[in-house]
Amino acid sequence: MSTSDVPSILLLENSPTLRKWILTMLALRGIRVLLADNDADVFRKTENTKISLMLINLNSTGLDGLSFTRKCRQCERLRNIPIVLLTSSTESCAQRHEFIKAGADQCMMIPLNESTFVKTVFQYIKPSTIPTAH
Amino acid sequence: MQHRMGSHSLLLDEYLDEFEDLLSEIEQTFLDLEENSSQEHLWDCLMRNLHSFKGSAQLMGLDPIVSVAHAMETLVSQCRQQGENIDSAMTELYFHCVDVLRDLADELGVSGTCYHDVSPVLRKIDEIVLA
Repeated sequence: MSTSDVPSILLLENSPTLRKWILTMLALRGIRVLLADNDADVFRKTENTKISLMLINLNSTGLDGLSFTRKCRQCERLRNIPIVLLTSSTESCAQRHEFIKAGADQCMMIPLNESTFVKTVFQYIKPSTIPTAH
Repeated sequence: MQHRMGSHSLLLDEYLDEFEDLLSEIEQTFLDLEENSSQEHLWDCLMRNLHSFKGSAQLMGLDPIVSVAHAMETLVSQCRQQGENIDSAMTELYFHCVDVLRDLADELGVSGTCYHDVSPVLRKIDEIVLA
């Protein structure tokens, strides 16, 4: 498998602590991560790179969850890329339901739990597509 | 009781940097709200930053910091919902919380452990929230 075929996750997470935690969790499993600085960067970074999953912390987008999700789903390039939103308890169940209706695939509550996080990521990235370390 | 981080000790440098950045923003937003509590975006910003602050502490397993941040969130949320102005007593309590949080961060930076007793400040907040 060439490097360009390796599935990548696009991560938008402004908390340095959480970002490093996620990067560590994914690096341990051989998953490549592309970092976005803000919501505009999400659109720029996905122009020339194949992305298998977008992990987006709503607090980092500068948009509300509905607007961000709709904007992604209106973009031809991002229409079919799974979106997992990292949400907090400040978003109600009803709000999270609205995000899903708008096109997000899943909401994951912060603080993240390692086993739930990894299980969720592997729903969208099949382990067989990740090169094994030799 | 001491609260030592487990497997997240490798994140300590990032955490302490983020801690100070967010706490400084929280302080400034609180002061701005004291001047003008009708600015909805300032309340949103304060709630968002407090929540991120608490989230990082939860990830690090730092229960005393989580408890204080949660109490501060409750206090701010109640104040906002009731449309109250931020008075000097509340400001004093809020900045006392900030001092306690900085003490905890200092302990963490030096020893990797939080041992400061946060129950007195939590009781003070409870007295206001439950009044």
